[in-house]
Amino acid sequence: MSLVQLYSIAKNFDENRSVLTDINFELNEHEIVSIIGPSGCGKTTLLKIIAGLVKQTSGEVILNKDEISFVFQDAALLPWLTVRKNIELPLTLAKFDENQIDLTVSELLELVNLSDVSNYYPWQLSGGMKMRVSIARSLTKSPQIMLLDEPFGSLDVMTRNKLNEDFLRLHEKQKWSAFFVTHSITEAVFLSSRIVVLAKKPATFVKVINVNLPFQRTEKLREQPEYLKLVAEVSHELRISNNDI
Amino acid sequence: MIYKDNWCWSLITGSSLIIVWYLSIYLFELPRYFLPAPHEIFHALICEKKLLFDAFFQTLIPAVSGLVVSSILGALISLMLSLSGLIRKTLFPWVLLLQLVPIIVLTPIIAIWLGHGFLSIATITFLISFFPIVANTTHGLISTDKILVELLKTYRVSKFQEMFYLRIPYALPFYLTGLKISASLAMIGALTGELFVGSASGAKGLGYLIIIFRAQNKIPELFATAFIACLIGLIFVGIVCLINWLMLRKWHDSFR
Repeated sequence: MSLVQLYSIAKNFDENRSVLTDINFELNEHEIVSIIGPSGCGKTTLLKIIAGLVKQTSGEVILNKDEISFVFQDAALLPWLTVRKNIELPLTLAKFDENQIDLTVSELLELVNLSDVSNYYPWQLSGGMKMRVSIARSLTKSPQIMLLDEPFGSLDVMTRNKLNEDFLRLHEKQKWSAFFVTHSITEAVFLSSRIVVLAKKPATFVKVINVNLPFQRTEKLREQPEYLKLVAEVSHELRISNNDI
Repeated sequence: MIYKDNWCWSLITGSSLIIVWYLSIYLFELPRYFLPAPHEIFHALICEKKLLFDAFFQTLIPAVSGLVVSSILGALISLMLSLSGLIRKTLFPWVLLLQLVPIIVLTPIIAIWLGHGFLSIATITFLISFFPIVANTTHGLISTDKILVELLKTYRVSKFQEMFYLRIPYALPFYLTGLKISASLAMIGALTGELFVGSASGAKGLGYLIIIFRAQNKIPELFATAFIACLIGLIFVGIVCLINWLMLRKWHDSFR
């Protein structure tokens, strides 16, 4: 079943500035689809269109599930709230019962291994911890669709790889579907069931690559020939689709 | 190490200033009416303590009242200005204009409207101290981090929730900065009020003492009055700094 359907999505910021054109795609249940493309090609704009934060110029977005969660490039934590209160925020705003909030947040804190720092403020956390809080917050209302905008882009490779594994672990438990925008080809191959390559100006989907790797993915996968072959394939597609960069 | 503490540096500069003060008096043979020595001012403080103590409270009450009204009305005006660009364009120039009119020109008008007494002095204090709060808080409310605003939009929050959960806490450090400036201005407002309208009412605040001591050529007493006025300003700023510390110390960058 498709959770998100995109039909002929186009976005122009003004008459001379077309960002997206003719985007057609379907996101299926339980799959992670990475969107990869050069900087400024409109990946974030597309996610914001799906989330309803930006209105498309033409085309249609059909969402077959209500609960959508957005994870920003920056962890986007409220600096005056503790880790626990930041994670609670979506539930507090939706006026959930306090006992239920406590229970859900405690479970999520354990899930992302942050129970020990639940009373810390964002400034006391490392970049990786901040991102884990951000992801935990996005899971509070048990979303069916996750939209992630380069969530691990500002982290070092070690932290990023660790969070990639954590991310897959969460996905396995909660079974949501996700659009995952990234600049990293290796990250896209590691996380996704499909990878969409965007061409630049105006951006459109030029290639969809299926990632037929085993479902259980660990660090060791990064050394496997089939993984490396896919990385090379995505890299090649990205280069020929954007031969001007 | 003790010299790392801020109070220690303040003490050193204060003591140095007193030494320079004494040296200036004795080296340049400055007359007492021009610059009295610190011990003469201290003596005046002791001799006139009853008068100064009463004046301290006479001035304190309208100064506090004006500042409290500024802090509440200033925050409310800022909230209103932040609601839309149209409201800002319509109202902000008038708020600015009110600040630009010299307070000395407004003072007699206020005295005609509100009489020669507490209400006029408190109003002048309010007029002099509300603008920094409005300018700072409005800036904080409208410059909230765009990503955080988008984050809340994804939760489909109401305008009220966005204001309460995001914009107001985000603007809090801006508000407190404005309040700190206003606290230092409140004393100037109260003194200006007393100098121009207060004395006629028989209120014997610090402004009244300034007029009397000047007329009697009591220069050390005049300096003692200035010292007490500074003390009120320091108390105000100190209280705001304490509020600032209580509210921001756990999370704001300025405390790291």
